[in-house]
Amino acid sequence: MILMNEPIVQITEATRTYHLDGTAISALRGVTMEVRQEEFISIAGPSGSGKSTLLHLMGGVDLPTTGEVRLFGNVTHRLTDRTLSNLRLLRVGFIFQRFFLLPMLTVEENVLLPMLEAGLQAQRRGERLEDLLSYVGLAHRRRHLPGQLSGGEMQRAAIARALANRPHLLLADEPTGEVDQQTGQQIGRLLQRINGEGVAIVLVTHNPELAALASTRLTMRDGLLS
Amino acid sequence: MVSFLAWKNLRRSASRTVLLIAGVSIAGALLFNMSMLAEGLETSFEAVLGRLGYEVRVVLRGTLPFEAEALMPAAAQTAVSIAAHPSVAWAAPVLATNIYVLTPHDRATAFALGLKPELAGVVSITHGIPGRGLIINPELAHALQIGPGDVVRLATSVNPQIGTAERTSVATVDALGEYVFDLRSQRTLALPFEELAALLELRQGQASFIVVKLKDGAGPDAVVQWIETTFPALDAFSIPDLVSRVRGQLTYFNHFAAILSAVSVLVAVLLIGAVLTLAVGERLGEAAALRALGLRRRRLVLLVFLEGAVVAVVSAPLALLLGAALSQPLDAILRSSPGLPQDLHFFVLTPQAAIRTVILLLLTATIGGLYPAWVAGRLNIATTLHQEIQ
Repeated sequence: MILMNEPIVQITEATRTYHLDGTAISALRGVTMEVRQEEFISIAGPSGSGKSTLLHLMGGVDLPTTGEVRLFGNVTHRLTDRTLSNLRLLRVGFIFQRFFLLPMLTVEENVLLPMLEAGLQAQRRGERLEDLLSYVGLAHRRRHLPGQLSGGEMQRAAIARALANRPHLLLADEPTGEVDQQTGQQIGRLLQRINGEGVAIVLVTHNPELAALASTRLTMRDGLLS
Repeated sequence: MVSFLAWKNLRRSASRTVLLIAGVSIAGALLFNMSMLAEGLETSFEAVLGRLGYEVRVVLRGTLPFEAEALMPAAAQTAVSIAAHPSVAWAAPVLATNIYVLTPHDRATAFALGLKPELAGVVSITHGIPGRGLIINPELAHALQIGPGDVVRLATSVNPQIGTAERTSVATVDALGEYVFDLRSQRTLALPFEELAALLELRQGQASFIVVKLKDGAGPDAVVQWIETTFPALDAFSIPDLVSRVRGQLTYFNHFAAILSAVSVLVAVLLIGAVLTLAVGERLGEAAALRALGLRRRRLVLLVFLEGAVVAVVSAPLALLLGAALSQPLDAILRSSPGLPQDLHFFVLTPQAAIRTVILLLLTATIGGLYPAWVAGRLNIATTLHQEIQ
């Protein structure tokens, strides 16, 4: 149970070092930050500055080399894969630059996946699917495969999938990186609407217009937040 | 959800999946054939023995199956003694030897059986009505162009110098029949035990061997033990004993089948392993995204194994059908070898062979899925997502 104003993500002095061909690369060099409920944070910065790495630590798909990440009060590096996966499944939504919709599944099957994995009852699943497809404006495209959709439609389908289990936190990694400007604006408005309904959003983007939608704007440079 | 995804993943590369299933089915068919071969001859031998209508065979010590020259003395009296055992329904002496069959224009050697009426089960009558005359097999009928109603002369030997038959008797062909243990192209005839004994001038009840039919519900082991104890000069063999002796001589077939089975399993493992590894490699980004969305590592590993299992489950019936079809010509090739009883089969379709094949195919899919499942299981979500976007 997360109380109002209690941070849902707490990052304390987190570092992340990768080893590539024997060379240590510091992607994060001691980052401390919080994400609170209903907050909308954008993180901008040049390529390779550590934005995506920070997003991955927040979502529990990566663990800090040193320091600590608390996700909904849980220290991520102390959790089992099962618990961490359940946290991601039920409380965190991910949106990727390349959408990562499963190409052999229709839009509705892609959106249903997290609900099936969470074991949601068929009736509730069906109702939730209808709501989500209407919400992102894809009800008429429900039986189409991702390959039959435009970039904007694919990203909206990916957003519907990310919202399937009513997450408290939505992590978006360059969500407009593969769409044109007008579609990017539509995605931005959709994210604003989602945030307005109580979902905290952390958005990594190069797009200044999209970043400007956030209530808190951060910049990363050389693995540090400013 | 995982089984749904496994099915969808296989369908997305339909042609690759079809080729994989075809490959695994062919390997599975060979596996099924080898499974049938491993136990086919033994099963077939046991079935043939079961059709003979007796459970125990008694021979002079050390002469199994029998030696034409080694006659059992006083076999008729011994058979009467054995028949008196409370577990025995009947016991009958049998004479077996090679004789000459002569017509006015031709002659042929034949394997002759002197049978008591109880042993009618060793021959299936195809034409005519058996009586006190001869029952000949089709090979002998064809060789001498004779059939029911024809009269022939039987001789124990033919003088090699002048070609005249010695110790002859006249007999009428009563019927044509198929003998359970005929070798391919063997000429065989049967006549009443007493007739053959008279032709061979055996006056003291000698016989080649004795066969024993047990009463319903009686076990052969006690009777076998009793015969060997009571008649120390004789060996007694139950059908399981005979099958056991044959099993020892079939080691060659078992090794052959085991080696080819291992090759089939290896081919199927490599096929499944290679295709699944390729498929997982192509889908690392999707796999990382699924993990990010909340799919547990174990479930992702299960997904890979399930894809292999689906291939095995779909391939199994095809492998069984193909294997059953292939076994017919393969059996015909091996059965054409000379010196084999024509009712014996090398490839015998048994439920055990089918079950063993299906289990091995499922095991194969599991082993084939090990490496790709390991690749999926050790996937680093963040690194993979990062690499996919580069």
